[in-house]
Amino acid sequence: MRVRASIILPLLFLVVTITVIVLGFQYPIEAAASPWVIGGVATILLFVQVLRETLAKVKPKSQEETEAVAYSGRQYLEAGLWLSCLLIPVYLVGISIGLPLYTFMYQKLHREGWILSIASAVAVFGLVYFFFGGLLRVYLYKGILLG
Amino acid sequence: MIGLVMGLIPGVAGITAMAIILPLSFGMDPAVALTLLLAIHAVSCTGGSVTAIIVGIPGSALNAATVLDGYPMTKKGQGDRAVGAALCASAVGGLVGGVVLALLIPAVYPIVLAFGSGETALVGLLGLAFIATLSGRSKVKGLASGLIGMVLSFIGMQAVTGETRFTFGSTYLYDGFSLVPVILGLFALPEVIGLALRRGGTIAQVDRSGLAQISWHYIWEGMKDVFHRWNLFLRSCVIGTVIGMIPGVGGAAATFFAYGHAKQTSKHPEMFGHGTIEGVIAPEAANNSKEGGSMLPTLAFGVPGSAMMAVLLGGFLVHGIQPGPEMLRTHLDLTFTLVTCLIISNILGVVLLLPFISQLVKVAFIRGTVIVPLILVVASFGAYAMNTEFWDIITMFAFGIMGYAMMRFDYNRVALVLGFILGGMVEQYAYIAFGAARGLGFLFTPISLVLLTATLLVIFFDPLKALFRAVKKGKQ
Repeated sequence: MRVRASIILPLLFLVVTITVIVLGFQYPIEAAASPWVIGGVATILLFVQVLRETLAKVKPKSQEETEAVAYSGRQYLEAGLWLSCLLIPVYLVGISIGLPLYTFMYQKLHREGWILSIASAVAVFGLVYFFFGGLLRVYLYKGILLG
Repeated sequence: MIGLVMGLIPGVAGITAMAIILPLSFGMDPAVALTLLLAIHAVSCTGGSVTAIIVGIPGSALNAATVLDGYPMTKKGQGDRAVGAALCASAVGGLVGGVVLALLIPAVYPIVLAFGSGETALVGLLGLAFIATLSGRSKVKGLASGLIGMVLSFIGMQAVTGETRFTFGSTYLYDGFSLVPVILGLFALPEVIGLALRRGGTIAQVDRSGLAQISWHYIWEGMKDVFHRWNLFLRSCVIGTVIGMIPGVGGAAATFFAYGHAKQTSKHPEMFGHGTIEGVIAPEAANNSKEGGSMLPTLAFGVPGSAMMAVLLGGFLVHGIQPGPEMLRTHLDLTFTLVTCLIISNILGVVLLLPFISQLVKVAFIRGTVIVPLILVVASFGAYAMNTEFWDIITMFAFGIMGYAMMRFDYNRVALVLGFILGGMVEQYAYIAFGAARGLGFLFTPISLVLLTATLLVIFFDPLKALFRAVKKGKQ
């Protein structure tokens, strides 16, 4: 049987609420009461939703839904990887270099011009390093290589 | 100006602008920071109306009704007149909403002061029930989203007992998830993911012919149209303000309601949808006047009337101000500063937009590949800046994926954020009330009973309606 994508989210939520209820037994009643009550009601609702998703017949998709699922799994993966790649330069070389580097790489590898990519990276560096780091004195994470 | 520009970008809209600016406002004085956020909020839908009319793509759902007649007017060569009418209706509509808000605050003040801890906790639950059940198509999904938000708010140290819960030994989770990465993840990142998926081309994938139509003379004519139809304008303002007061109904509902009302009461309803000026005035007047209405429950009860108000509520909390009875008691000056700001921003937004309309609309034609990394970088820095914590960026990404999935499968993101914001507050007030009453006695005061009944009615309205119908049919 093929698992419908729409069932994954309520199942994940269900795991969260059940975990909260089970872990609640470790705490005194004052700390466990709210998670039990709220988590309990949420579990019931999510269980109903999972049942609904399981038993629902496949309906013809609306135009909005068709547009939403028009992207292939590969496109999702590609976009997701591109976006999450931001974490790598930031983790390695910190905020002030990582963010401009990511901006430059994203734009250049998506076939934007050199001038625009460099200008965007310089603008991001100026904003982060001079405005936030210099003027507002926000501590800038230096990364594991430079920190 | 930030709100106007972000409002002009289809798919990005004011809520993203607020989410991004929220963390950048930390260093500011609370009054200045909240004024900034409110100004962005107030004018973003004004900016969105211009793209709705000129290029046929609304900046956000709030401007969707304006497209129905605004864009056909552009096609007929009357885009400038429609823009003039939209801007004038927005500015004066915002003024009307703000004045109504200023008049209503003293009226609700004694009611709010009668609320104790138990009642405040129940107001939080009522607000959540409204948002969860009225916005979105599925009540079960809406309520589950709100409750998941509450469950997530329980992570970390409990305020009343000092017990750390559900941290799995992680020191990062001791204070729970920070509000800012959660908001950025749920509201800004899904839009970025959507833009990244589209990849090539500009954000607004339409022709630019409407841009050539901006003439000052016809903009002025459009503005005069609003005053010639003052009756429709005022009725639309009333619709917007009243609907804005009901948490969860949403601005888009107010604009479509006003549009429908304009069509129903028009002498030539057949013209609607083909480019009539009434079809522009009604939604735009309702759109901006509803902000005054939606601020009332936010300021007086700490229950936001709309998604953007939920982010604004986050702004209040980040700056250490708890909206609700306490705010009216101790920060009444700030409350009226914000009301004044709402009125001025609406007018100033239009004044700032007018000279640059044709230039600013070009923002909608920026390529996705240029804007995606810029928004992502600013959002990531915003997530990081409050606690200067690398893990907050990861939290933002995690909530971003969840937010995109919620958007895709029609779960209620606003309810989740509201549950997250109100969870701790409701628990704390309920705990205090429980202690003071030495039991559940706080649930049986007259105000509590009214609030409980209202909450149950909101949740079980549909089954009750079906039951009444069945009983009625049975009798017949």
